[in-house]
Amino acid sequence: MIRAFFIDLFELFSIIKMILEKDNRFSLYLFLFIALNLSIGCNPKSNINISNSIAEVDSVTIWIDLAKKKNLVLEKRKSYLLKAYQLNNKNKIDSVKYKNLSIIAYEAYKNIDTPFFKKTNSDAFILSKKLKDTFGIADSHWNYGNFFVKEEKLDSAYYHYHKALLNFNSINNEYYSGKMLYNMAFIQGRVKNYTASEKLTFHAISKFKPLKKYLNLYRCYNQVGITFKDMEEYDKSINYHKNALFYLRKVKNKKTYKEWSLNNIGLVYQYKGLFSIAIKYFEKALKNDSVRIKNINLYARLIDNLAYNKFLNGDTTNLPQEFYKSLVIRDSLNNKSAVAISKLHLAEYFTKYTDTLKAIEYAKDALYLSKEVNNNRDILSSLKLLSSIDKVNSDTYLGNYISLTDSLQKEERKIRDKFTRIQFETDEYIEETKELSRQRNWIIATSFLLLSIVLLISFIMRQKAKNKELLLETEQEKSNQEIYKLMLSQHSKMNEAKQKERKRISEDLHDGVLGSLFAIRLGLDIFDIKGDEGTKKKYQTYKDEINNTELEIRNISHELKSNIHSSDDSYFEIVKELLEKQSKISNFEFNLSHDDQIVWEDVDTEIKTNIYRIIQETIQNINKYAKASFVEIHFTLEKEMLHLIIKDNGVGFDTQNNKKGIGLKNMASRVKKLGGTIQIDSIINTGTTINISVPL
Amino acid sequence: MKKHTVLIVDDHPLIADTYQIALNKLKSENDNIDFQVDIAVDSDSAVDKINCYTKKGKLDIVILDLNLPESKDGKILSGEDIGKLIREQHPKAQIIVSTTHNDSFLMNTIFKSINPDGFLIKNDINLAELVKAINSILGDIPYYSKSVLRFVRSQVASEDKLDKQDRIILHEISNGAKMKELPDIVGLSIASIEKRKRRLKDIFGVLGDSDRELIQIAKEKGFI
Repeated sequence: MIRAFFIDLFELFSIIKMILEKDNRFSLYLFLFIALNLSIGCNPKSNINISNSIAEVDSVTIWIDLAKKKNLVLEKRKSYLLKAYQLNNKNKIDSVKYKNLSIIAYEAYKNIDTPFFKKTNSDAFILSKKLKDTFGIADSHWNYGNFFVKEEKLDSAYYHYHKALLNFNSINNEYYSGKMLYNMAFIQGRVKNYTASEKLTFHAISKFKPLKKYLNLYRCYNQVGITFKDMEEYDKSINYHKNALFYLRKVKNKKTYKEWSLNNIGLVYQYKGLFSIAIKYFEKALKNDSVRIKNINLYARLIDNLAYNKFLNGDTTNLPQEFYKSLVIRDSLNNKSAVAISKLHLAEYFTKYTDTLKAIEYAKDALYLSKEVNNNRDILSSLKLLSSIDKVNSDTYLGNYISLTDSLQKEERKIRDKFTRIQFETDEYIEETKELSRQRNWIIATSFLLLSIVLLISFIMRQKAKNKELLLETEQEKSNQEIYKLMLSQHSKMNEAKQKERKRISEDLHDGVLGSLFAIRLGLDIFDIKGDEGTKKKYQTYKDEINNTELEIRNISHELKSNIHSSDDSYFEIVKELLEKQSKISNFEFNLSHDDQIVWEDVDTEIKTNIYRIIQETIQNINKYAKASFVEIHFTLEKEMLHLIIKDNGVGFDTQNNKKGIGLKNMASRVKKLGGTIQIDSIINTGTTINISVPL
Repeated sequence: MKKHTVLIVDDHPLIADTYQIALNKLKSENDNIDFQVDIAVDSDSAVDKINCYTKKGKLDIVILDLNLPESKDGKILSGEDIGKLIREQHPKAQIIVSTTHNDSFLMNTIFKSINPDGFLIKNDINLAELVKAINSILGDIPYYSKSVLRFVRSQVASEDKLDKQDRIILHEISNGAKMKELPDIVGLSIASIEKRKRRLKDIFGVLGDSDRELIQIAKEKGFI
């Protein structure tokens, strides 16, 4: 009762200290409340109610801080933590809630408050999933891992560490993934899967090295050293322990790590059978007096190990007192597995120095204790020892020993298989993802290729079609030209024939008819007409008439010949024909004229063809849209330029607004092809004038 | 009494007949004139007759139609060639050329190749004039009908200005020859033909570029 009061008093002091630190009103309230609590001794339930009324966000942190105080009794800390948890549940901001929850879960783990830890950690896990906080998820797994290690559920622990590792990896948190690897290596070592453990540790080392995490590196190398010891590769083990010590030099807060390593090296030499060297290491570790204060467990272990090695070395000075010394310390610490080891060592000692009864007693104690803490290694050692010294029950012990070994082996194999499965599933998953991503890449690449091929093909096809179209167009143009040429040549042939015919007629008239008439007239002259004056005069008149007829015929003949001259105007004739035809169709008058200077024969056929087509187009436009009643077309020649004016009195159109019909476009392109210019002026309801100039 | 050997060459029998009548008329009017008349109605018989006269004796007067069909051997193309043949074989013979063509170019050519003693454009004359022409020639005086005389006068007026090629060009253009055919006919390049045309237009005072105008004026002035 008095002790409890003191503890409460102590609690009070710590709260006062906190108030001094934080100096806020809430803390004052809290202080008052606790003081009240102390004096009245209310039940915790009402406490919570009161605390609810004064709940603030900050309060959770304060409760947690209180729960962290190591100098408080565990139960108190637990209750503070529970309060923190209940308060925290009221928090509406998930991220803050999660943060606190994570701390609470970790504290619960440290307090070995299993149900509370399970609850808080699962809450934290769910919340982090809700928040999609990968780090949080990983952290919760980590907590689970730690928890299950403590619970000796190694497979579950391994599973959670592995999950944590994957999550830390996915957010590239190298440090924590290294830590997870280390934890996994530790578990693998525990189930004697040494190669896997070694591999994992080196993986962890590769993560820590670039980060210069020396303490972690120390731990890793230490772990490797232990692993190699278990694999009975002692020289390598010693080397790695020395490596661990090398990294330890760079660690600021060394604690008792050095002594721990020396102990481990000593153990390696012990297993090697070099007891005197082992003794040196233990003694070296014990030279540091501070070990006793800093790490009493280690101190006890060192003494025990030193004594055991001395015993193995055949040196019995201070024995078995040193065994007892260690045992007393261990006993006072209530460290059952350590006590078991001490008792085992004592049993061995007494076996050798022929006090079998004592030996059996110690061995039985060791067996009992190690069974209590579920330490299989020590159970086995105890059974083995008992079977050799307790002659009466030897067979039972041996049987137990064998069956336990078998079941342990089975268990270990099972767990190892489980680990492999976990690893394998992950590998498979990774492989699958890789395969999938490879497939996806293939699909992307192939579809891209296909797409580009399709695009290319369509592009080529389109280009081909375009070319074809162009070719057709040119061919069309060519054939048009050809047709026109034929038309022209036909025309000129016709003209030629016409002229030939004219010439023939002209010559026939001249030579034939004219000659005959001349002959007749001359012949008539011969006859001396006798008669009256009237008759004679009439006779003369007829002769003169013949002469006149001769002249007329000669003129006609000449006329026929000289008309031949205008023959090369056939192009003009063709244009005229076109206009005549069109004017009849759509009823317009026209005036077509050209300069005499234009020798159509000498004008390039290409120009003539295109101009013909332009006129055709224009006339069509006039027919279709302009509704003109008069069209004027005039050709002039000026400075080697052929000008064409086409004028109508139709309805006209807006040259700005008109989206350039295909007809106008065609005309423009024709003129452009000839290297000329085209100007279209149009006034609504007045008419359109097209000016075209083409160089000859 | 002097008997003149006369050869009439005309493919038109009726005309040849008329010529003979004219000769007879002249004979009946003048006692001291007598004619021995021979008629050829185509080139071949004309050539035969000329050759015959060359062997037998002289040929005094030839009345020659210029528009004769080609001879069978193709050597004689027209009356002009027969004229040349006569001038060769009978230098003293007097030639009266008759033609229906009132054509300056032709006249020019005939004057140069045959230099006839009589030049009649058929349309100009009648029987009386024909008789007059023959009579004139008998007196050794050349006789040209009125169209020919007009031509000769214009020729004298513009003698230096036009050479043979100018005349050919004018003649061919008036006959409807095309510009691109001219170099082959005249034997000159297009450029020099153009040059000559410009010069001709200057001579005749033609203002525009048109050939038609040139031909028209040249015709008026009796060059074509």
